[in-house]
Amino acid sequence: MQRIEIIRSSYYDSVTLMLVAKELNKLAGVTSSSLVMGTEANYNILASGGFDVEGLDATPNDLIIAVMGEDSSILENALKTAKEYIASPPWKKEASAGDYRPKSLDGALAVQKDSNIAVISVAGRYAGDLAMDCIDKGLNVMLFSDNVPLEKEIDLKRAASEKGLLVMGPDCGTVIIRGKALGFANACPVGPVGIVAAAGTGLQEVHVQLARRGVGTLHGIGTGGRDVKTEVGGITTLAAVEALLSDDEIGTLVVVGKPPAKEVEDKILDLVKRSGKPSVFGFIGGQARCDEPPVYICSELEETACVAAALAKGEDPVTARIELKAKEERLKKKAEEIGLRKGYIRGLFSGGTLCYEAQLVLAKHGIDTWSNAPFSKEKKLENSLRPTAHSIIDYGEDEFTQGRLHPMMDLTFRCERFLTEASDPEVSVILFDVVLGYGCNPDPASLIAEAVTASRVKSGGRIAYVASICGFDNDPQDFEKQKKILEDAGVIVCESNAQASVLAAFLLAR
Amino acid sequence: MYGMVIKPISVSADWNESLKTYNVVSVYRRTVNIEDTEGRRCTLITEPGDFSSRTALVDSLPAAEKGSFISVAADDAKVGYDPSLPVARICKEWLPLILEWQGFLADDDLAVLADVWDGVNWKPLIGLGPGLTPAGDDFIHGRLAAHLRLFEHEDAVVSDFRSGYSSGSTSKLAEGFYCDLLARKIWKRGKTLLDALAADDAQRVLDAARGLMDWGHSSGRAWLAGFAFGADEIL
Repeated sequence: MQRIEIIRSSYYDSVTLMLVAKELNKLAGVTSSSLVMGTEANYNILASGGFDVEGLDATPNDLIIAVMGEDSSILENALKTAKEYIASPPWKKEASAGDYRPKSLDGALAVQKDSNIAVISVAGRYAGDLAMDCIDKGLNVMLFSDNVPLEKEIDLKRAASEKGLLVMGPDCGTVIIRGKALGFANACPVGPVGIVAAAGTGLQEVHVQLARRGVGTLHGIGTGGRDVKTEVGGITTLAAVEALLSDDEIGTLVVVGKPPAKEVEDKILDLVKRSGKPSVFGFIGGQARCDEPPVYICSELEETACVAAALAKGEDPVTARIELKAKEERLKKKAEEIGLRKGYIRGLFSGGTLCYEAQLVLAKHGIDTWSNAPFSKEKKLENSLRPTAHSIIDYGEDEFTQGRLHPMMDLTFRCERFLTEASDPEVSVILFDVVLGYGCNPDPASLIAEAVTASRVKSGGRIAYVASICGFDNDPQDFEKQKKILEDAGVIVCESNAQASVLAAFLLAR
Repeated sequence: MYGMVIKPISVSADWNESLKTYNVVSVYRRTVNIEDTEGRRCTLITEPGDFSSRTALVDSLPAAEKGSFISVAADDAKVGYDPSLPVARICKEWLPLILEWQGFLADDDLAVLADVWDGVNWKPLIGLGPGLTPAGDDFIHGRLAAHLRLFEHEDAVVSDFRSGYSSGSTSKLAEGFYCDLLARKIWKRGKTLLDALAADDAQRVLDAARGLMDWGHSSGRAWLAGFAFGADEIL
């Protein structure tokens, strides 16, 4: 039995919606609940969760409260509770105790006059105007929000550029300023590397891989994924590269992301060559090209970090690359030990760049993949909830995060997909990422381990679970503990996303 | 002399009786309101943060019932708080922060004030809302405090209130606070904020604002909202 109610023209933050849904699920007799905005993707998610959404007319601006349970009185009570909680969340009262913090931008600036950066995390439709307000007040902007229109992004970046400010984003999940993390970021050492990246898990993976090689990062500037496209022209990327090149504390520059538009790449290269500072370009999926020391060109995240670490330590980057490549042979042997299998790979990712890199690595090994975020348009899945053949899904894509928490924080939906994939008899490998650090779920491994265990039972032990952890020793979740939880659940944990993808490819008997 | 004798630790500077007998008018968890023979409200408190005019800080509240009599012997008590409200500045740099306090009227429990406050006419707010000091009175009190803080001579807003207020139109306690304020006396949480706003210490301002927000169920927020409208009128 189900009840669905629509609250028109209402916006609630996704943390509130997640917490209310969790509370509803605790009510006796409630078997499932979901509070989501009425987007097409959320209709699909509700339907895949067993809700009948036929005839539902919620728009993306409306909140849908959907509950499933044993009888109508339970459902009535659940709906009533949901409405009470979203109107006055009990946890907000607790949160209001303690220090008083200003609620307005002007109020915040009144008490903290020397602020020079604002972090914006509001619904995309409000984010642009708020960002412009910040720029007008002389603040750099980290635009965590997604769903900001391209035209608005261009306006913001041009306005910021005129004032010598940076707009980091939109959809910028990670920024590191003098070693301090904003948004999702790992607890890594501070050192001589400066990173410019699209700003999500690509930056995190390089940051972490550098740290594992004993090299720290001073700044990590996120640009937003569209910045290097022709339309935006790399406004933030070029400004960030210029700033890091002129920073004497930065010994090695790293630029990471999808390949930029040709004219943007030329401008970056020109800046770097003129400065003479050792630099590594990690253009994930870019054309194979020769290094032009001191500029090194890489096509994977771990390779980028490996070369940058060598440069930072005064070691030979060529040797470092050869050593990294040698690991592939070991992964091949490992796959044989685990046991080759026939079937399909399904990728369940929370990090966009990690998802993208996985597809590219698999392609290098002759595995053609489908995705909701493919590297070539013709490989786009028609329905992200109905993967086909080898499919690699990014659950952090906009379609899954409108009115929902990012899967690096709320793993509920991704964990459900482990079970869904297990019921497909053709799936033999599940490849996934686990992202640790500030802002992420406090214990993702336990949630995934539970899902893996259930998935293994359902699949009859047919599936190999391969993962990488984007995390470092000092992360609040405790890297070693998280790794052990996954390994105890039978997950094969690799040293990097690229290595996990290679191992997944080797596991398929072809 | 009747009843038990209370010896306070400290008293407000306007507590000018060394030994006097009072009638207990109301008993709460943290305060006991008492009244002298002239009908003036006095208060016994256990938290220094609750100081106001004619207030005595005691170790523990007397187990006295409403209607009983107690005596307060303040001979040895130090002055713990001066309720006088001297004229002083409110730094303009705090105005953006102060103005956001107007937003407290959007809180569910204060929406009743937002419905009637038109920016000028304070009369519909008198006695409006639940509590011993109704939220509407807290709001007006905050607005008047801003005006009295800045001007040595009563300006139009204060004069309008003084001439327009009808005695008995709100609770006795709230009316007592109005009388005190018009005599330039204010309770400690309000004074702490006003003093902080005259200085250049952001943390002090935030702490003082927090102290007010924690006052009563809605009293502090209503006062801050009124103060913000008052400050906006004159800064």
